Amino acid sequence: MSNLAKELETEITNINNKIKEGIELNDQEMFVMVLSSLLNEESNE
Amino acid sequence: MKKVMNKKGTIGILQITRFGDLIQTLTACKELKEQYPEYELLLICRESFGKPLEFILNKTFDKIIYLNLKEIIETPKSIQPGIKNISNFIENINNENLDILINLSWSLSSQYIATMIKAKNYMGLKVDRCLRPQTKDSWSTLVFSSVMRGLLNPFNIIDIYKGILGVKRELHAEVVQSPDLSETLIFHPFASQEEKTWSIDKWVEIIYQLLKKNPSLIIHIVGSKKDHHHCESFIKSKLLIPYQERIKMDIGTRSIENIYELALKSRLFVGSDSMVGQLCAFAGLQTLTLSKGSVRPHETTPYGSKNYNIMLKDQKRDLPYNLVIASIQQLIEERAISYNNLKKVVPIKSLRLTNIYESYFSREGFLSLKELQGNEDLHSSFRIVYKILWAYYINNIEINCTPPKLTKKNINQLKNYLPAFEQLFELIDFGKKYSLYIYNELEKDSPEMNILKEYSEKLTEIDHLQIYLRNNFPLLGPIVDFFTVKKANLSGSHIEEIAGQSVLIYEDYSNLISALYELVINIIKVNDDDFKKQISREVNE
Repeated sequence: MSNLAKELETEITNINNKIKEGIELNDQEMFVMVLSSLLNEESNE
Repeated sequence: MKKVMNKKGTIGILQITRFGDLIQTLTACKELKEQYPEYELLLICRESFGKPLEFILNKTFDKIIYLNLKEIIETPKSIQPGIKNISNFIENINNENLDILINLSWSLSSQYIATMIKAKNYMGLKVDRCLRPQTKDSWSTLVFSSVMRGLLNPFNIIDIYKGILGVKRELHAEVVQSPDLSETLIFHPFASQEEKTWSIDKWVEIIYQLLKKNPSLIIHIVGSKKDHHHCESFIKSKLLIPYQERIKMDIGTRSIENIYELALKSRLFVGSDSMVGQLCAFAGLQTLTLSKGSVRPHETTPYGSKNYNIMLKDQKRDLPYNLVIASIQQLIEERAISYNNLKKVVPIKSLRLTNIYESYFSREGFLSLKELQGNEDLHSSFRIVYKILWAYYINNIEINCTPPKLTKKNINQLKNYLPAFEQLFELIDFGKKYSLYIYNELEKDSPEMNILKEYSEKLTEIDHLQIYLRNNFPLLGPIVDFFTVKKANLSGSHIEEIAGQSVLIYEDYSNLISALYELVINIIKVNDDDFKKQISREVNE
């Protein structure tokens, strides 16, 4: 797994925990979600 | 950037999916711009898809902001540069002070991006900061509930876009039949997914037969660079050697702009369900789509009247090429396909393998498909019924059409649905009742939490029962899913307001189920005399 993928996975785990607790995401976390979803969609194409 | 005279505001259109979606977005936005020229239209799209289409996008959009995906995701060591790029991209859009942001791309990334873009109003799909879907308008709710799941969406994607954009529906002109037509056909035998395409041998056979029969016909085979390896199959084919002069190989050699220019002076497009068909239709060219795999003709048939779509019923079979050749020949000679004429030259067993659709604009301005063989089944009947329902509920448009003719087997299947309607109606009635109880409890000075909890649990139970019913009666799926999405998107500044909205949504739900039930009863009555007599007896009693 690349450094980027590892870093992204850690960030997403933290974000998912926040969402489970009903805490709203900040800008930085939303940007991570954008990046992660773009990467996913690109790899599926 | 173009300057808009007497500018009233700026509308941002977010479309970050692929070529085909971008052309469909352009088709809908072109009408929006014609109807509201005083609004500045800003397009946000991916650079790799937007740049090659800039020559037509520029005619409708006043400004384009590109998402350079390569730049964003090619950040090998850390996520920080990618995040910085996304942040700059969003900041760039936010500098435009959008009055409305309309997300027409149905992808997760676009929903997150839409959330980050600042606008006074939003339409289309987006999420909140807890990543919960926030879809306010009914057309977008329909996207979530019908388009993304199943075969019962009755609308062309462009008509849905027009619905979200608020484009006034106008009558479209029929295709003008010019006596002095070009002798050029455009063939695009490729598609983004392998399952949607046909074997090259079949295409070779079709091209051979057409060129043999029509001595002045010229066929351009177009495709992208990744389809280039197929060139040899056409060039080396023994069948096609005598006709090489009239076959123009444009695979990977023509830009999209060149293909568009070619479409402007051609006679017909023939190909798989792909963006080239959409582009040709945008250029005003008549199209014949040969559909395989997961294609949904009602959603994606190129936008224009007298476009045709031949769809295989059984995906394990292959399209009968004699039917395809006869259809193209009719389109060359008459610009229309007549089923009676097809029957004269194509064996009936070949015809039975397919559904042949002809597009037309209904009086209400929706692109509709007519099945030339008169094949109606439960799915097509329910598509008609849902079209009537959604057009009236969402846009107050009344659609008049003749009830479909169904087989006895289909009518019996439809009758099996009648008890399900009653069950669903009862569930909705309970939902309405408990929503009202919650609302009334909240109206009190000191509402009791345990009562609210009890009623909320009842509503959850009702939701589960509805899903159970939907799974057993899939034709009711679109209406159940539509109101599930509506309920999930309830909003308000305080809980009382949300509870009030819930009551209203159940009220709408109940009215729509009654209307759906009436429409289904009418279909049964038209097809079954005994049932008609039974109903009138019950009414008289």
